Amino acid sequence: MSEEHKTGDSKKGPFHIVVDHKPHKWDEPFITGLQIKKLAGVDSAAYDAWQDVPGPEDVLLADDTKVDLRKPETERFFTGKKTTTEG
Amino acid sequence: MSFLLEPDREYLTSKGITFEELEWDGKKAVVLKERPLPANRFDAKAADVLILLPSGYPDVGPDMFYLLPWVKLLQPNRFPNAADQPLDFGGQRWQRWSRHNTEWRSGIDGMRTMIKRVEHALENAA
Repeated sequence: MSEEHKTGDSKKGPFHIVVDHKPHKWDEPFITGLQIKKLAGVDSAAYDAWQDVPGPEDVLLADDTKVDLRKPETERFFTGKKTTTEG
Repeated sequence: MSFLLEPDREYLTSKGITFEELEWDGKKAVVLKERPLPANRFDAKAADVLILLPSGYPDVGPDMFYLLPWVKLLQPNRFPNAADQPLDFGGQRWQRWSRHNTEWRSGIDGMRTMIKRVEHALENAA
């Protein structure tokens, strides 16, 4: 049986999240953009973090943005380096 | 013909991005159709985005991207930096946006991170 429980639309921990295609278990109900980057093992200054939510736009997460993992469809994240060099 | 792997296909589909996989002169590519451009920046509101896939993709990342129609900045009225050269592909002449980032994580990066690079380059075009 899953350790992740649902009560109505609100889930209880531990929370099973996916960061850059890899599964992680997170005990707290909130996770920040910076914590996502740390789980991904990327340079937090050079990389961005997004939440992959239903719909056309991913949600860009600032380092101090908190995602409430108790809400539905909050469990998928990815990181990336979006900068490029001209020329 | 389909050569994108499932994670890419799933991402593009989930975001409602219409795409076409093309092979031309031995080169594979993906065209993202009618992608919206940043508002009030260019002389077009949307463009197709061509991304050439290197033979090792997705273990190797794409380099640069290409637009059709060609777009100019509204202010000043000119092509953006390093975006005034053509590429002939698929019977069409594309606007090459010479933008590079050699950092690519095999098994992690894919269409979704490449699209973020394209969007960032368009938002910061000068």
